[in-house]
Amino acid sequence: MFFLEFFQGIYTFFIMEPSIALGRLLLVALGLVFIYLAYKKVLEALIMLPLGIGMIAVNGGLMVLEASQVGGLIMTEAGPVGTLFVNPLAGNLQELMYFLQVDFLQPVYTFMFSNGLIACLVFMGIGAITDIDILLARPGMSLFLAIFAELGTIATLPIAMSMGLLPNEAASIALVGGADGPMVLYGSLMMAKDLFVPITVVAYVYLGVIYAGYPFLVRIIPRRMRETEMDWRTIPKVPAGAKFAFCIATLTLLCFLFPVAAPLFASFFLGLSIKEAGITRFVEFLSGPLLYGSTLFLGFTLGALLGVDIILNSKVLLLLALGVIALLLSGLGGIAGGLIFRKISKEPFNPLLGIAAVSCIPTTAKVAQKCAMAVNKKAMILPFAMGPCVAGVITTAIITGVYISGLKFLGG
Amino acid sequence: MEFHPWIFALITYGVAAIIAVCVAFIVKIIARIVHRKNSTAEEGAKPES
Repeated sequence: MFFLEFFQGIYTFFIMEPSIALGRLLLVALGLVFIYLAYKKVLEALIMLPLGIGMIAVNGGLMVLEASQVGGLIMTEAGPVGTLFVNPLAGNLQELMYFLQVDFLQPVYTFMFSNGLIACLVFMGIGAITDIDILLARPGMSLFLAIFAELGTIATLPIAMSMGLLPNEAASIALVGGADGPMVLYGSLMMAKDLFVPITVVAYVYLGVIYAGYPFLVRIIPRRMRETEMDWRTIPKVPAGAKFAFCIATLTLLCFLFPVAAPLFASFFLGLSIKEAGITRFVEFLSGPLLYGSTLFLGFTLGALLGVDIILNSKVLLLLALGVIALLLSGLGGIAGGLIFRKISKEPFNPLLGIAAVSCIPTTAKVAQKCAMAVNKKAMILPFAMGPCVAGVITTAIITGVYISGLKFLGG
Repeated sequence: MEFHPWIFALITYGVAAIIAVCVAFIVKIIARIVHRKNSTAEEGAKPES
């Protein structure tokens, strides 16, 4: 045992409770699975690879801290056990100052996570790569489908509360139905800070699985409907001035309505308006270094936050189930919206566009295109799919704003 | 005042739908203004007979 003290990562297995040691091993194994699936491109590599590496490092790299050090992760007979990564539980100013000097990811967590900055930076980048032509050319269709595809975001809230979650926790996990990673991160940070790590990880893992799962779900649409061709040459060209004016007008309206979500709106529309204004230097910065740099630190810090204390929380299993329910309901809602719009549309309409309205830009738009191509090689619906996809981001942001502002009406 | 969770969810859906209609309306207004501006510019550019 004395010899093992040289290798603290292994030594700590023997001084902690067996259930915690088993949990550590489980999380290391899960990290390995994420890394493998990211390497094979089954899950989104940009997020899941750094996340998996963070999980392995933080659950392997546990050590006995000096007794004078505060806030160890787990208390044992040998002393407090913790890591040199990050301590989200650092409460008072003295603890925080200590961890800012010791834990290398603590500055990222304190200055970028706990205030939602990282989600806003990702949103600026997303804004800078988002194409709003079809949203402006077909606003009715795009927003109609987007509202239907929010079924999961809406219905999961009461379902989660009936399963015993508190209103703030239920609203946070319901946002997974909007299929928008940064939005879930921002919303859960605002509403349920103690559960934001498992909720955000659930969201990102499931968003990775969407690409594989939704193609099975859309099979409930009759094949002849999925084959429908739409002529993308009929899409009218939208002037750049109109797109720019839309950004500014919508931002102003949404900020007046939901100040609590104003940082998110401002970030998204800042990226969007910079793109539409044609400021190429800024577009290059937002869509390149800023977006990918933020995504890297988002994934890595989330992984480092996934310590063994997370899975010991009894609510995690419930969150896993509710995440599936939210995305399933949103997918079904989108499909229902697509079928209804097909009925009322005078032009040929492919109901697969409904699944694109589940707003995981651009994954769900690609899923719609992939499913259409699977049954008809000539069906080019991707240009149309981007409209509902972008509209979905806007409706999810609106619902996030309503949830954060309206929690007091749920007793939260 | 506290709402039943399902009532709150329905209200949220309604609010989101109304704002979505407002956003669509903004798009329509902008499209109309841009269209009118373009038509005026085209008419101004026509050679006088």
